[in-house]
Amino acid sequence: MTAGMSHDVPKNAVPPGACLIRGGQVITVRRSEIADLARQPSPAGAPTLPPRFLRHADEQTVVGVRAVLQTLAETASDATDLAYDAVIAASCRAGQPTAARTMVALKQQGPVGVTPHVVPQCSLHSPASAVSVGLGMHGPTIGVAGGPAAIAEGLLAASTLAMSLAATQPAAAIWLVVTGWDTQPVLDDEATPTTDPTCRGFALRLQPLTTSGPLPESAVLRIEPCNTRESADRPAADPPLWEFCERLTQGRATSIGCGRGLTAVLVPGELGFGVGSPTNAREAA
Amino acid sequence: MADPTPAIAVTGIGAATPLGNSFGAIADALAAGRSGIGRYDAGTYGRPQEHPAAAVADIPSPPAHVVNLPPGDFGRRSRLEQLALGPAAWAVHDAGLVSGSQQAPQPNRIGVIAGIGAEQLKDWERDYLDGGRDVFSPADRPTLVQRLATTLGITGPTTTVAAACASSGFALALARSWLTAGWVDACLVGGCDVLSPTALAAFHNLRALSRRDDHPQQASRPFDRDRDGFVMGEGGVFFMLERRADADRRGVHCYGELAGVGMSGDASHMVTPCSDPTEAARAIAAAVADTGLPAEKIDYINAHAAGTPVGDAAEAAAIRTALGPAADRVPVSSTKSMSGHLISAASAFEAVACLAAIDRGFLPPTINLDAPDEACRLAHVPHTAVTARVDIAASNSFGFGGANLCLVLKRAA
Repeated sequence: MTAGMSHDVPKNAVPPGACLIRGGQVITVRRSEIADLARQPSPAGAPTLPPRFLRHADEQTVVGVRAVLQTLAETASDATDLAYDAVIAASCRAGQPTAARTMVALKQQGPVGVTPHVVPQCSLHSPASAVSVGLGMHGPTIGVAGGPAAIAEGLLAASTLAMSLAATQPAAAIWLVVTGWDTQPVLDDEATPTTDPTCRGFALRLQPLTTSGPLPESAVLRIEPCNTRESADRPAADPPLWEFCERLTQGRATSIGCGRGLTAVLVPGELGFGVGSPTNAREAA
Repeated sequence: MADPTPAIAVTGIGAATPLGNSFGAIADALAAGRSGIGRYDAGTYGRPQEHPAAAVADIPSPPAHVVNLPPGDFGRRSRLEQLALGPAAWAVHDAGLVSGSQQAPQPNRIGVIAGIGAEQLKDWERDYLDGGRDVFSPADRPTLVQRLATTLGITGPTTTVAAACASSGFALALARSWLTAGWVDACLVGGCDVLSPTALAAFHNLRALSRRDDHPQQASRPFDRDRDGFVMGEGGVFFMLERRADADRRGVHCYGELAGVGMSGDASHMVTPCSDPTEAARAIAAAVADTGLPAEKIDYINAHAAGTPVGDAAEAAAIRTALGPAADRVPVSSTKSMSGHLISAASAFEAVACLAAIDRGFLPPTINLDAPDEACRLAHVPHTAVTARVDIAASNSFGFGGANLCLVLKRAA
């Protein structure tokens, strides 16, 4: 087999899929606060969404949308800049409470009791679509992961999409939104949550870098291929989401293995990731 | 320096679909205009739930020299996992990339990408209907694509991609980029979906499904004046993709090349199809531009057209916008009239239809197209297949939430 392009690039050149990090925010919300956040998702200085836009949305979607809005507020971005942006959302077991309610309804009422919103609002693509539809982004919109490797799969998918965008829409950004629960909510027999865990997420606004320039040392996401022959020192698997968010806010670099073939390297640098909470939403209101 | 835009070849295909479980069987069914749709009862708890639907009759077990499973293991896996593992293993076999062979790349240089839109929902539903409580519990487990890679002994990068009905098409787009970047030397890529009571009920309650319950084989009527919704299907389709130069070096058969990809987002509505064709047209135009060829060179378009009143008309307008005057002569058909809508696996299945058109030299028909809707004015292929040389074929896929994708496949020269 022939080694691919990434093995041939000069040192310090921009490898395929590398992105500059233009901004980002971390969001932490208790489950019991999410309904309020869905009603008033926009913090001061962020674009507003259509009325009741998130009324059928899954909890992780609400948190992901809020992370994007918070980033826009912090960077004072004009919503018109977003027109051709792309969205990648990586969630972990999103939609579980709605799915549970749907199963109970199917059992108790039959097919007529199944909400038509369960597929469009609780599938893996739903958080990405909500960001795209809510903010008018016309770039590619996809969900990835769904399980415990959400961070690695999200970083890898964002870099993958960066290659396409760099060639076709070089001014457009990629929004990477990753969400998950610290511990998944426990539900009773009627699908009502009995615990109040924390839902967490982050948004990164990534600018694809062209391969002609030098690779920045900081505020960058890049993918590094491992040696052609499989290495025994396997890169680290996904850290817990809370730990990854903590590293983001502290500006610490993180390497995550994408299988044994690739490593995603994220160097946040001095971007100053903030930590948002629903309090901001109430202030805005 | 390696080629920055290497040709990407399809070197293996595995399938489990309502129209057959191999490339040849699917090509035969499409050429014959055969419907895979029938009456399907998804009933639960003693209540009937009948719909026209396209089910897979028999899911092929993986070949033992690719996956040596213990007796009974395959049958115990969920139907969704069977629809992934069976076709994926046959694609590995078809490409001659069995692990351990001298020609095969190192396991960490093979990627796996699966388009699966609602894996957890299907898993939770199956477990709940069997009396389980997974949907109420916080337990976690690897995703289907991670389990698939483990079963096949692949240790390279993996991911699940979801873009609703365009999921497996976006998976193919990502796989092409991985190969172009040199991140992998081969990529097992495709999608799968399964008929489920919840999904059928949800789409029915959304009034998205055809209500022609008494005439299931006439229910899927893309572009027809009397269309009233789509017919749900299930299936799994996987490909092995490699850089063409690597495939040639191995001397392996190439079904065709993935020559162009175009993507966009409607940003219109979470549920309702977008009636404005602008963004869908942009995806089609981008895919054609990606090939470096003019629109006139497209020999066939496999439309997304699922049979919904708004969606089909919007797609017809998008094709006309993207192709301009060439739209008057480029043949267009929707194979969903025969296969039903395979949801997450639809793009992958329709890529097979394009490769079949290229390989066998025919235009697959849109069956049930008795009275083409004036709002869907295109160069249709109604009722029966037409013999034609096809060198370049485009395939559209549009998903919930406005995910637009167009793939262009071409004959391997």
